[in-house]
Amino acid sequence: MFDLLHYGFMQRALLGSFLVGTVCSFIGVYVVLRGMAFMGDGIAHASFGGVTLGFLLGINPLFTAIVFALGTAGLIQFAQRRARIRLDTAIGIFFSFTMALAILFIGLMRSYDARLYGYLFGNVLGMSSGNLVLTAALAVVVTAAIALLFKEFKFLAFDEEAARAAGLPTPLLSTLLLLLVALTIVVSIKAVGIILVASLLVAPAATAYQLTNRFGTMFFLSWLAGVVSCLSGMFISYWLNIPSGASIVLVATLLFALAAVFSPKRRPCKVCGAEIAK
Amino acid sequence: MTKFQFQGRVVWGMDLGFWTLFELWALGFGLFGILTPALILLFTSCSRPAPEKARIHIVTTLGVLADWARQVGGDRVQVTSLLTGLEGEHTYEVKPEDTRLIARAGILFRVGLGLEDWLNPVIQNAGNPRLVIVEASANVPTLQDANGREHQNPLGNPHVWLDPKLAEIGIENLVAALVRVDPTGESLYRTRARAYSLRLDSLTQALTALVVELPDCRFIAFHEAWPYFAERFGFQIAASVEPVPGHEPSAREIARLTDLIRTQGIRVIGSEPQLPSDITTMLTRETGVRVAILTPLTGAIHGVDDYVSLIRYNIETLVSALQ
Repeated sequence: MFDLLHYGFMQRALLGSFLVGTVCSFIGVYVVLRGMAFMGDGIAHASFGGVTLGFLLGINPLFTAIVFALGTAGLIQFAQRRARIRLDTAIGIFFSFTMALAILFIGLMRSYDARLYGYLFGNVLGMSSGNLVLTAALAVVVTAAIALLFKEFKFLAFDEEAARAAGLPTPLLSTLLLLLVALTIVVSIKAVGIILVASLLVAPAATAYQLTNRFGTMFFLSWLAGVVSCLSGMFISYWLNIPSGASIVLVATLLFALAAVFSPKRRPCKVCGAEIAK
Repeated sequence: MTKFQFQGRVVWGMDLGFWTLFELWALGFGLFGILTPALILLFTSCSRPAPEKARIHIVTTLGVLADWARQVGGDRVQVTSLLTGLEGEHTYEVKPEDTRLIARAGILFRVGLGLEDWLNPVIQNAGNPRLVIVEASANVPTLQDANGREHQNPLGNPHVWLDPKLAEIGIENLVAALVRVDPTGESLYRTRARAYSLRLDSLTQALTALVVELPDCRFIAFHEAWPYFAERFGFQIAASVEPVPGHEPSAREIARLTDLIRTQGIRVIGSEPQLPSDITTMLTRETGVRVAILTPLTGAIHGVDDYVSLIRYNIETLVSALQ
């Protein structure tokens, strides 16, 4: 039954998706608390522009993806802060701009490269040892940043104005958080693909939020949901012969649904029967 | 452009306070994004030379067919191929110029058997009622995919051009069409076709002799392009990595291939430049199997630009990998 663990490619795929699940679930806590889900999706689509440029120029696509992801995150910030454009408008504009660049670059390629499909929908089976090392390195960087700035980010997530009043450099922290989200997204592209990576950012943390109000517990539950989704998703994709990105996200969504239905936060009022959501 | 009552300078509605390095870089990135399409459009506009008159204009789908047409037609034909060899024959995307080429063509020479179904809407829209369509696969006895697996198209596997004996049938089909369109050139076409067929015969004999000497002639093909090739020259296809071209294999299928390589002792796996994939490198690292870069189309590999070189290159590459 576990004979699939004998294969090197499967071991790397499982380890890779575990790392991705871990780092996405940690960053996802901030994404959910600060309402950055659309931003995450926008950055994911922007990184596709980077991937296609990498293919067009013959450079490692993950490298150009990082450039595009960070650049677009910066542009969105710039539009929001300097040009006073509403955040969702800014995201919408740069989202479609980078997608249009992606389509342009694909049109300029001499021939269709099937590996692009893998970047859109995930190709965790093709993870090489090199990819794995890069993923692990980025996971360490992101986790270290979260650990070092835990209290600062906690304050920022719960009450940005009070944090600013208390003297924290909130613009800087916001920007740093955005950069961490962008890095996480690029790291996760291999596992679930660009189209689904936003889901992996949001679902585990949202699941945790249904179950607890405590910040630390939320991290732990989010990690649990993320890792269970990734590993069981991989096993299910092997046994049912279905794409791995899809099965990971479907499991994550199922976990969220279960958490929402059985959430201890939602209880009927003992007096009148109306639902209380805490 | 509105003005804001803030401290500090305001230009074009933007608050130009202290700029962080990151914001400057993001702005640079944005400018790059606007300049790139503009520069690309500037540098890629090029002109196409006008075709010469008084030659029969033949448009082919594959470079291989274009080579055959040039061999047979000589100076009496002007041949253009739609595919350059870098695109896959299954995943090719039609360009606007292709419609123009078909509209002006006298003969369209294609493989058939559903391989070029993507061309049908173009033919309908080109509005060329005098177009003569010749199929290289007409009158060719077809095979299914390797190992008896049924090909997606019930008419059979279309990669007939990789067998030189079947190539001669395709060339005969073209000659018949050329004679109909240009009766005055009949003796030229028939002579050239016969000479080329003799060349292909001696090529087949010489190359088959190389394969016969191999102790183990089994390999794993990348996609189902090779049944006719294997049948003619004496190779055996153990499995295919991508039976549906462009569709990467699942975890279970990769595991099955790994097991096949290990238990059956398959030593060579093919990869194709038109279908880049990480799977072959991964299988090599996992099992130590050798990769042979094969190509079903001309124009993809340096120096492999005509049919004879194509067949010779594929045989020699596969034979040396199987030593």
